[in-house]
Amino acid sequence: MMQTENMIQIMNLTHCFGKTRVLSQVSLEVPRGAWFACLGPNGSGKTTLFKILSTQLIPTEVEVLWMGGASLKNPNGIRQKIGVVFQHPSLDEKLTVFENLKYQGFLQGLEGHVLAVRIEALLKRVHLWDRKDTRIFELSGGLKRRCEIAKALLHQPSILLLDEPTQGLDPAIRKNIWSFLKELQAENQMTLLMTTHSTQEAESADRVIILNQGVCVAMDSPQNLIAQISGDILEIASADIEKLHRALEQKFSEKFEILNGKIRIEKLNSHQYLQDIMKDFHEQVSSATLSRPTLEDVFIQKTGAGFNAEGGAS
Amino acid sequence: MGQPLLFWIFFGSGFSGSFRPQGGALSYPQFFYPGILLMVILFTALFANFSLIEDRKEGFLQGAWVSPVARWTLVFGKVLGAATLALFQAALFLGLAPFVSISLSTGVILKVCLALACVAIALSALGFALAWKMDSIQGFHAIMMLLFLPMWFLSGAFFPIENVPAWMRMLIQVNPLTYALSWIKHSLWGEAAVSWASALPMAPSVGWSLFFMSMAFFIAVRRAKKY
Repeated sequence: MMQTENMIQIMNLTHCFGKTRVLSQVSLEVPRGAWFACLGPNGSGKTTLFKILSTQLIPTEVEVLWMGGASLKNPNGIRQKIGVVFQHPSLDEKLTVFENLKYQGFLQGLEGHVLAVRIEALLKRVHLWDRKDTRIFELSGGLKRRCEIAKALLHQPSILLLDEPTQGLDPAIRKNIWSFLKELQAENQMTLLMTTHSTQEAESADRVIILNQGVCVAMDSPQNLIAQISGDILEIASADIEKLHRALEQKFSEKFEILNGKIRIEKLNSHQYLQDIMKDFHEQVSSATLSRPTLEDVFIQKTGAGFNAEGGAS
Repeated sequence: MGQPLLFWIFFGSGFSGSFRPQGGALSYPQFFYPGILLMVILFTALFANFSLIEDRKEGFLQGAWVSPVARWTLVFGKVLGAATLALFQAALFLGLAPFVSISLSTGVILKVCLALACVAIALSALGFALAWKMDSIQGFHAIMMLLFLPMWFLSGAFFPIENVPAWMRMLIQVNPLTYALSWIKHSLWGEAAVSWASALPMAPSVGWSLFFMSMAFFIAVRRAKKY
């Protein structure tokens, strides 16, 4: 197979729950070995997209849907190619780590020596081999997630789908899982597609699709997306934001927007604005931040709305 | 297990004075016994599907569902699991039969277990089909109280089904549990169950029970295909 072959290809996917349209004309292509992030706030439709890609949900309408060479008409063909990591681990709490993997092996048609060897190799790789006889309910959230990932990799899928893989984990474990996924991608040419509502996480992917209310608002590499924003982002907070806003618009004779209670200035020479504002209005300014743009700013630029980063469950 | 046992003890003892059995063959606790077996199966098989509601959304079942195996095998596995649990509990209850002077030979035990197994599979499949689209356990409880408990009352478990008003007779006749219970009674007492314990004849009891079992399983698989 060629290196550039698309492992996931979707054209004009639309999904409705009753009369509510949750995904609208979404198209995407993920080449083999790429790390693809699906970024969006809660309710953006990314979980629905994940459910469709993991064959849990049949889309209302789609022109093309190919996953690892299998089409939507052959869901079991897709299921052989994908490994799925759920946000709430799909482990039997009362079984041990080893038993959970064994059961998954049976579901994937593996058994005997082959299965035992694979389980051992995988558990060693995720550093869970010494806990193989521990029941799942005794494991911490991070270890459960590692077990869930091992379970998803058992049948050596070519695509790994992950739904908010680091949700609810502390930073050190996040980093750990992250580097493991990076290794997988590099060593096995594995294609990864993950949903996330963390702009920071999405920035380390090769390619990002940004969803807002079921519509794809941007799709490119994080670098290219960020480069579309000219200059830096200046955010000014004040006790009386309305008053400062009026004063600033009057002084600079231009329109500024207020987002999340802060005046937001996105200009090539934002630092110049900062200097001018601090010179004349420093008494009214309670805080001012000048930062390099992030994917969050891309989202704001594309949708005109704020991005509720660390929100609840999606 | 606890609730059916209490039902049996309290109702069995309470009604035994005023119950006048047909042909005088059975005491009330004896008459009530197959009904209690059915109740054990009913409760266990249905309740075992409770887990489905959560499991499907954020549990073990998610993983099974995205694996390349035929949907019906997953349904069958879940249904058989619940049915085994129900059968096991009912089998424990069989051990209480000698207390009300119901004698059980090996042949009778096998026949009763076969009937109970089929009924357990049917009810478990029905429980699966109901739980599949449900998003709360409370909803399942409501169905239990409003649908299944009355069905159980009208199956001939609680009172003889001969001398009832016509409208009730109709409900009893369309009630799948009536046929299931008749089958259980037949396997306990043979053809005599018709005259002693107000059972329906053997052939329709078994026939309809198997039909309802297949239907329940068919519906469960159909529903499970749409996630």
